[in-house]
Amino acid sequence: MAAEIPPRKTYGQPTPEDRHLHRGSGAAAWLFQRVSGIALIGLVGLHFWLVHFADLEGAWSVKAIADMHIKQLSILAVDYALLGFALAHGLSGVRNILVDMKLWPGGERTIRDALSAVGIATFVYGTFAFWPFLTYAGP
Amino acid sequence: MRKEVESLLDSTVEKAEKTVDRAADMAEREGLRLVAFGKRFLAPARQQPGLLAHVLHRATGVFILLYLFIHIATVANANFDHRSFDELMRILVSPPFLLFSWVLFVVIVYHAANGIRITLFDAGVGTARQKGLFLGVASVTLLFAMWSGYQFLPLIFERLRSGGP
Repeated sequence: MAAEIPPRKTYGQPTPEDRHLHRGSGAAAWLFQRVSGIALIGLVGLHFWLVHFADLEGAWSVKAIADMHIKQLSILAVDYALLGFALAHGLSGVRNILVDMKLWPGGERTIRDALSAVGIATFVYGTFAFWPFLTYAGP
Repeated sequence: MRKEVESLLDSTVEKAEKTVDRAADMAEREGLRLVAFGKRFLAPARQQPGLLAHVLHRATGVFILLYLFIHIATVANANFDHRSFDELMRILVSPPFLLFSWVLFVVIVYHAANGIRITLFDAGVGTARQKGLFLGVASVTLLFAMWSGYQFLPLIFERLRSGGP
């Protein structure tokens, strides 16, 4: 019988044996919250600058918004990225609050699944909300 | 261990509250009512800036998320009737809603600035300067509030004067 090979020492790196300790620890959610937060600062800034501060006195209408988004696809890209990131960041924050409040001990996975469903449904509804501006063909 | 930490925190907070109360009482005895009010009102920020920042961060986060849902629902109105959507947009640029937009902008700036502060702490930067960084966040928020107020307020007053949107 061949001698068992001892696991390689990795000094600080998780070995395959202890990788399960990192799964579900919330590290990925924590990192996402930080990264999406930084991305949102840029996206919200661009959204305010391009859509709101650009024409504070302007009269908003379906035509004006459609013209703006069809002429500048970058605004459309910013708005969709903002929708996705804001929903994910916000709902992840709500999850943190609910888990911290310990209203439902042991229900963390259910909270995560329910909030994910809310996020996906709202993103789809957001796409539906934007549809008339993308398909606008005049009055 | 947890109980020890909790009781230490409780006794520290209690001691801080008693100090603030004593200072406020002294100010009241000297007839300095405004100073006494200020001492009591600002006590949480002076004694526990981290706690105040944490509570404000969560409250502003929930407010922004609720606004996002309302914003999506408002924009979705364009699917049903273009004319009623245009009418709704005219209402949304009226003075009360412009004032709300200004408040919303300031709330977003606070949430973003405090988010950067939290990220810095997570990276191990500035943990020993909690109070200073909180004051920095408050200053940034105030600066942006003034700048955006300079954009919004003249428009709000002009529309109030003219009576139109």
